[in-house]
Amino acid sequence: MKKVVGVIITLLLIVLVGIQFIPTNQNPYLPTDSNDFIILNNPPVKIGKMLKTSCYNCHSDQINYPWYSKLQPAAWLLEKHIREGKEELNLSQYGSLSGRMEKMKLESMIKQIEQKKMPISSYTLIHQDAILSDSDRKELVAYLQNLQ
Amino acid sequence: MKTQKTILSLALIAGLSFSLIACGEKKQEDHTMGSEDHNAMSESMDNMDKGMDMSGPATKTDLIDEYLEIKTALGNNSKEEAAKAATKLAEYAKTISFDQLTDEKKSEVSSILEVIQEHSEHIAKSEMDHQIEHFEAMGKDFTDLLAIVGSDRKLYQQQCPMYNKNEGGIWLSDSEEIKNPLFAGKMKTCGAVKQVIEIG
Repeated sequence: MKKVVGVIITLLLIVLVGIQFIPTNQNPYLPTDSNDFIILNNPPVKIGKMLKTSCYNCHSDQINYPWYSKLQPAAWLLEKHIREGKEELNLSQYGSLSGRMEKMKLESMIKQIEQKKMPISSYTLIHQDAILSDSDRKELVAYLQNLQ
Repeated sequence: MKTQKTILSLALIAGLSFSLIACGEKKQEDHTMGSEDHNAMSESMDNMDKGMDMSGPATKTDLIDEYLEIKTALGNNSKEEAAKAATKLAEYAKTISFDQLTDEKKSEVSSILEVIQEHSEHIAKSEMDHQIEHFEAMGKDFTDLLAIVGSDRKLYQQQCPMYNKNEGGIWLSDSEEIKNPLFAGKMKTCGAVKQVIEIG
């Protein structure tokens, strides 16, 4: 019995060490330009800060990678989140969208924040600073509604 | 005893990270496979449609048909049927072209179609409450589209004032009779005709 457990642990450790050699694939940190949501709309400092900490780390070209982002399997999960996040909404390229598409994205942002679907819980679990309080949400939503 | 505990918790950690990997990978696979399937599926559906009615490229009739299909499906509380029609609608919105329009109108139409495609893609992959949100928003885009390219049939823009905490919501129908699609099969008769879209 003890032998079997030992073998299993050894195998798992080998896998865990082995996957560290799979390269991580991070998005480059690009300079912001005039298409950036914050530059474009110049929100109050507090709103800009909320967007940066609670949205931009998946929905922009300026991602601040956390310390564990070089470790597998966390790197994979992060990569998947960021790829999917940017597919839906890339705030760095917000200004390049058509007016109609901008309105649609705004509406979706408002709904996702209001319904507490964003920022996703798997992210806020580790990044407590990204959690939006109820009053944060209200403030952010009110600001976004004003842009509509 | 103590070493056993340590071993156990180590195994647990290792197992957990392993399942995380497996999980992450599987999802990723599903994702790519899903989108490939999706393309293959809509392509074959496209071909089937073409085979059946020899219609060639997508027409505005196709767009309106699928929109109404989604509306009926949501009214019947059928997430799957709505997703099926939305998959087709996304493909049609992507491939349709309106060559006879002026350049200015063309660019407006293409920005509307882009948004319709995005709404459809969300309807195709979401839970019903989210499907309804996108369907409701898409009603306005369809109204705008038809104001430019014209409708092939008489349509009714209908509104239920109770939707979204009494903010109200709209949809298009090919019949005057109200069959509300915004409450997942409930509140079936809430609504009234707001606007008639004539053939044009």
